[in-house]
Amino acid sequence: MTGLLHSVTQFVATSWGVLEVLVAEGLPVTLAIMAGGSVVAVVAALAAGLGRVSRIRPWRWTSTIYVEAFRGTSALVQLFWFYFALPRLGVTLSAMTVGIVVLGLNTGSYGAEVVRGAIQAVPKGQWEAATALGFTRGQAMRRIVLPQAALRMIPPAGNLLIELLKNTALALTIGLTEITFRAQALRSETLDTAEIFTVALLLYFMLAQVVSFGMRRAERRLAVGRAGYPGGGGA
Amino acid sequence: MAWDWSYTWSILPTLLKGLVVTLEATFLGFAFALVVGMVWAVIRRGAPGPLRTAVVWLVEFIRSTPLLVQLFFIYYVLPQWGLVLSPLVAGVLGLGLHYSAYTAEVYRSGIDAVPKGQWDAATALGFGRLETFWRIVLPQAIPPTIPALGNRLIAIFKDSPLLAVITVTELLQQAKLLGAENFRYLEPLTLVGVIFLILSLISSRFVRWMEVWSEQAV
Amino acid sequence: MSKQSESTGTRAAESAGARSGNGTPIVRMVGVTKRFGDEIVLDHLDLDVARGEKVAIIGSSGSGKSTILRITIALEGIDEGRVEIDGESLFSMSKNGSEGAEVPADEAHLRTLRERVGIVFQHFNLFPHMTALRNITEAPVRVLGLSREEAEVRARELLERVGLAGKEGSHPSQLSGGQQQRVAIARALAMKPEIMLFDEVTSGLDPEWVGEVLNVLRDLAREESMTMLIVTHQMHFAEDIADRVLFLDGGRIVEDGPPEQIFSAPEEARTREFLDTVLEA
Repeated sequence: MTGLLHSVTQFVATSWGVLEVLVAEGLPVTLAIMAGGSVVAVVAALAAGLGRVSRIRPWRWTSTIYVEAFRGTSALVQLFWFYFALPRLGVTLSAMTVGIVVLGLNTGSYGAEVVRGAIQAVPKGQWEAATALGFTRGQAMRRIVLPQAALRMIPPAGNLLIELLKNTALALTIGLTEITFRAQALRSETLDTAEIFTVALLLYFMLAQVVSFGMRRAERRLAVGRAGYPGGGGA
Repeated sequence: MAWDWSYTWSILPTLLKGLVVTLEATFLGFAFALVVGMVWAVIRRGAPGPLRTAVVWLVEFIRSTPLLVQLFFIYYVLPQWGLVLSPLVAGVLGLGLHYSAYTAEVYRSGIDAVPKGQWDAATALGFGRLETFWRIVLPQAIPPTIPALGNRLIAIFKDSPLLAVITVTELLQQAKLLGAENFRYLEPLTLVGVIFLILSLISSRFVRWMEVWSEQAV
Repeated sequence: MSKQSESTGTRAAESAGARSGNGTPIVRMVGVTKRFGDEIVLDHLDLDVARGEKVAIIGSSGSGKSTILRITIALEGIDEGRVEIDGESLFSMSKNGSEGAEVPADEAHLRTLRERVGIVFQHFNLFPHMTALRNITEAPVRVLGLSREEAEVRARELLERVGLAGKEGSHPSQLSGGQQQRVAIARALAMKPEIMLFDEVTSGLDPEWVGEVLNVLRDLAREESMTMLIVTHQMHFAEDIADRVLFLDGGRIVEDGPPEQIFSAPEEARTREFLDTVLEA
């Protein structure tokens, strides 16, 4: 009995030590990649999502090529290509730049489809009312359609942010010292592999919950007065 | 131009060897995900409260944590507990387990989509719960989910390069090795990207065609 | 014994001219044909509407009634023919000034002419993410360039007019169908159009809300000098407020005349048939 208690105490103590290291040294890098990557992803998703429904052909084609190219290959391959192959073509980027830009563009390519789907889901009657009142297409998009689409985008966007979080682990392969990199480093120093990777997984899990919580709050904020949400009617 | 065509042709055979391993890992992982996902779906449906809650949390946990870390866990931690696996087996296990969380969701929505009246009719006719599930509900639940499962297969294919990090010599790993050997990464990595792109575009079209076809069949 | 739509159109033009004493009809359609795929929705339609006329358009579903309205505000194009708003061509424009050759109209030209037309839809199409007040002020501010204060003053007046004073801060989801439709009417009126189009505005409402919306329309018809085109199934209402009733069938105007004629002594057999089925209900 005391043997079991001892093992459990050991496990917890070691795990705590691991957690301290991962949080102190790995977490900031993970968060940096997430922050930068999210910005890139949002910009790319909006540009390409709007591009896919635009009537301006070059914009539409570029968006389609971007979306198909980044969705059709995996994030790891993209990271490698931009970090190892691109220098051959004369452009050398730092690991952090590659991490942020590539993971951002990768997430953004899925985001573009979310944006496009949400815009197309806004009822046609909204466009007609806006047109009838005299709005230009741009005004209608900005003031009437996008605000309604935005609400629909939030749940899938939350999932994509969690995908981005998971993808930050891939950045260890190009030398970024984020959480998983630190975990691997610890593994070579100590033999506590079970504690190390369990803690790492739990840390990611908690971060994912934080993201989900944040998105749910954003959704509630944006949904003021809308049907089906608190404060709105039932229509 | 910085591109070396003769180099490109010379590395192609080695890369294709890697592609074979990629496809092996993809399909084996998918098979595993299909089976385990069904286990989760069944438990979510029918098991007593605590077990069901545990599975719900487990599935959520697997889905929201990186596949890479899960692979590391399987590859580095299991040996300490006595289970030593080859990189490929560990990779297949990792892919299968990770994606079982997704297939479970697909199954769940498929099962939920079967009208409740089917369950009622079967019960009234005297079928037991398990029989109802197996003979009446499942055959109706699965066909509409095939396109969604197809998309999961494509996702597994795109995640297979992660196995390179646990030393499986699939497509990306071959490219890395070639690149390191010859100090030229541009051609191998670009070829890898192109191969992935072509294969996933073809499979996506196929899955979309399946969606249309399955909707017409209804 | 079927009259050609051309002669009906001419008759309408003559009577309209006689009524207003002013030459230019505010809406003129000449030989307008509209197809959706293989289906002909409007068949060489001629129509002149005089300034200030209140026209009710009746007919069975698919007869093209809504399409006439949607064409007037350029939410649909036409395949053949010509549409004029107050003498100016809607779907074509002169290239370089008034002397240039005619080319298909661009968005800017359509927008200019749309300023004179307002429409209320069957399904309201209110903006769900805005309050009632904002729904009404948004277009005056963004399109007409009014200041927000001016637009809000106008909006409050209109809300009072349609009987919704106090509902400024409500979102559409907090309003009943009848209230939403009245906000939609106020929203269209806020742009001060010369022509108001009403596309089956009570057909999407629960019966209990139909009356309040019809009352608003009645007030508008009596008090306002603007031209109104009203597509409706409410025959008694049409008889009550319209100067002129058009019966549409198969994409053509089958009969066109004052309500006394159409409802009490229709000249065409098809008109009689239609009214028999409808008024039975």
